[in-house]
Amino acid sequence: MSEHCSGRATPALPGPDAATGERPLVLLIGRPNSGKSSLFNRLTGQHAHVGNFPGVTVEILEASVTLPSGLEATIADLPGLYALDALSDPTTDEGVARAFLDQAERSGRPVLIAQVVDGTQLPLGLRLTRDLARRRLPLLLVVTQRDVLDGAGHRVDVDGLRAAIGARVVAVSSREAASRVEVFRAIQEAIEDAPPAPPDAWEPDTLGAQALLDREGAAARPDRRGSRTARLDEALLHPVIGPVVFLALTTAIFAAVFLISDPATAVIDAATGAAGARLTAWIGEGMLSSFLTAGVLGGAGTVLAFMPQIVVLTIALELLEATGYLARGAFLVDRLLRLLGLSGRSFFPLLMGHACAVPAISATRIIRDPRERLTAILVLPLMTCSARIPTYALLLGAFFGHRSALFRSGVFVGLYFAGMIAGLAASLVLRRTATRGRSLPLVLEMPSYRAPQGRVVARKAGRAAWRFFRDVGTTILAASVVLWALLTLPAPGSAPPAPPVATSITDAPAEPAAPIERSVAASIGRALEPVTRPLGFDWRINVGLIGSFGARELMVGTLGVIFGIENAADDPAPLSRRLREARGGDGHPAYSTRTGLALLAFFVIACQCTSTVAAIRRETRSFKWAAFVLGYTYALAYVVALAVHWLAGALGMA
Amino acid sequence: MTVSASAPLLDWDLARPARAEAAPSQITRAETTSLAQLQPGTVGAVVDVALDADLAGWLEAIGIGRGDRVEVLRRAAFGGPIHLRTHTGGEFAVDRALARCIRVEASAAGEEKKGAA
Repeated sequence: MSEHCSGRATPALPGPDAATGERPLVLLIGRPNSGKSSLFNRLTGQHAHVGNFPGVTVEILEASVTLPSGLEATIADLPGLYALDALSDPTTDEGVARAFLDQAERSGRPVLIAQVVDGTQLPLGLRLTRDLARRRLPLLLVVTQRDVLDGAGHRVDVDGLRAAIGARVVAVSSREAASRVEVFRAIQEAIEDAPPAPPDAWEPDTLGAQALLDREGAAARPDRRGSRTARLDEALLHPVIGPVVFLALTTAIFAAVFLISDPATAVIDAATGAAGARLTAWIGEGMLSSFLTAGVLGGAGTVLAFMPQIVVLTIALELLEATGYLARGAFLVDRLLRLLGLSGRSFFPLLMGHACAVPAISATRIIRDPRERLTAILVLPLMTCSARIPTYALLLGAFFGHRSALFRSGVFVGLYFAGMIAGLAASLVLRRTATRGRSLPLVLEMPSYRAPQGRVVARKAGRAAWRFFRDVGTTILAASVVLWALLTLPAPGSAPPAPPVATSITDAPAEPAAPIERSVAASIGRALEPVTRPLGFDWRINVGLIGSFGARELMVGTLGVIFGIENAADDPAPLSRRLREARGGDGHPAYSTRTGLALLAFFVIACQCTSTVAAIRRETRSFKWAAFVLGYTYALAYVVALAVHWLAGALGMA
Repeated sequence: MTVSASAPLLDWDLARPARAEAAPSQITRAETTSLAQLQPGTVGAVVDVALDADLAGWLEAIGIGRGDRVEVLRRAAFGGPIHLRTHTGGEFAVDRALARCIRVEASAAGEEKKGAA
């Protein structure tokens, strides 16, 4: 064993974390589903935070712990990993884990590998152990699921494993509080007394079988978990019952997102609205209050309004993952997605995209294949997300308020499915163009069913919300401020300096001299008129589109401002009237049914969501793909809107 | 169960064999079949994995390598993935097209079921 492996040695190279200096780094490594997260949670409690490891972009949780001897150590929870030697893409979880291990090995910092092995699948875990042992770093085996083994009349031969592998071994149950101390003691021993080089003369399958004691001894071997999993699979993977349950579950998740997050979002909206009113009353109306309410508070409100969904979705996904159902769902829909060039692994990110593309883009990390993952990221913005639904409703109210409810609901349902169809079609095209090439086939672990641990799930949800707030929130806020400037500040050369403020306009005049008419956005809107005229869009709609560039739900509010209507987003009826009364330059109605339909078609496709673009940039680590999504969705939106406008005309609509 | 369904969109190099020293001459055609053809409830021993080395190595790490025994639990409808249990104790869903590249020797326990197919 080389000297840098021992906890007492001086590192030859500076460690990855200068602040903690020589403090030993304990890397929790293991297969996905090996019980690693539960163990990490048990060991670190609430003290875990996202580690600052240079060069590692995926978030790795770490925590400082004090071992029984008083020695301080850092425990890092690496993403799950199956094999060390086979190549994998560095952006996937498996690639990240491997790169991190390589980096830690080279850093010269004292490192201990703590491999988490599911005791019920010893041979499988030991195959990875063999790879890890070749790394010649101090190794500790933490065998989990001791409680399950106990229940089945088994016991892990800790000493036998230790003798064969040449590494410390401890068997625990993450559900028992005492396991924390047991693992800490083992970590301390392993750090203080780095074990000798492993003999590497053992065979995982044989050893795994030998290490499970009482195998022959126990006459009746009630492997309760195994038989429970087999029984559940009989039903949940049944050719008929399986898909039915699957549909019911996905529907339930959807219902939860809307039933739970919508009221919460409404409360947040009301709160930011009230805060804005308070602020305006306090500092008086003017440029500053407009900036603070519309620019800053508006942006912050958008960020916060996403939170309930992100939390609900993360909880749902974590529950599916923790119970073991996620893999079953992928198994059931794999064939269907394969037709579109994707695989079963893409299903849940795509499903989540129907609530919000932003967490869904993060969730694509479960897709092992880089090309498939990129495809999923690129088509996610097309899915009918929950922010589109109120926007559709408002646009339908504004443009078709005079039509029958049946007409509006018919269009609404059409819009919903149009997003899905557009996404699937785009995936099919992308797999043959931008993301063409060979992909990894589906090999998905089907873990045993188990009851999720509430605390683990809750913590993950909290972390997802915080991550969204930090990474995406700043972008949304910045975009909100920029858009405020575009919509409020007068364009250079446009005569009298405008008294600003969207919010100060009352709904009195028919054609109010709104300052927005002289804004930078209005000049851009007018300049775009030749391009958008074939769609039936005039400069006012163009300004609305500029306003909704940051977030699509701002469209109706922006149109309200242009037409001098306050709170159009709360009650679209006055706006609807104003839109119908609006006249173009030639005295004809400015907007027809065709215009409304073309605009809705545009909203189905265009990625009017700064948050999504920010999330794509973060996940692909390139501006290129973020720009690609903006470019292709807007170009496609234009073409589709044009087609709808023309088709509606051909069908005789006014 | 035909092999020629539709060309998979997700395509990978099937041509590069994992190991050059694989000796097909020792294996008579009659005894082996592809994993994709193994009926549910049948156990098979992997005799060859005709995939590129990285993928084959990854499969070996999870217990689907040469010499490993796998049991087919069920097959998804319409040519979907195969649900199998490896003798290492893991359960995996494996893409049908990938399973076609894995040759297995059906064990005695599975023989009679294979005859019925």
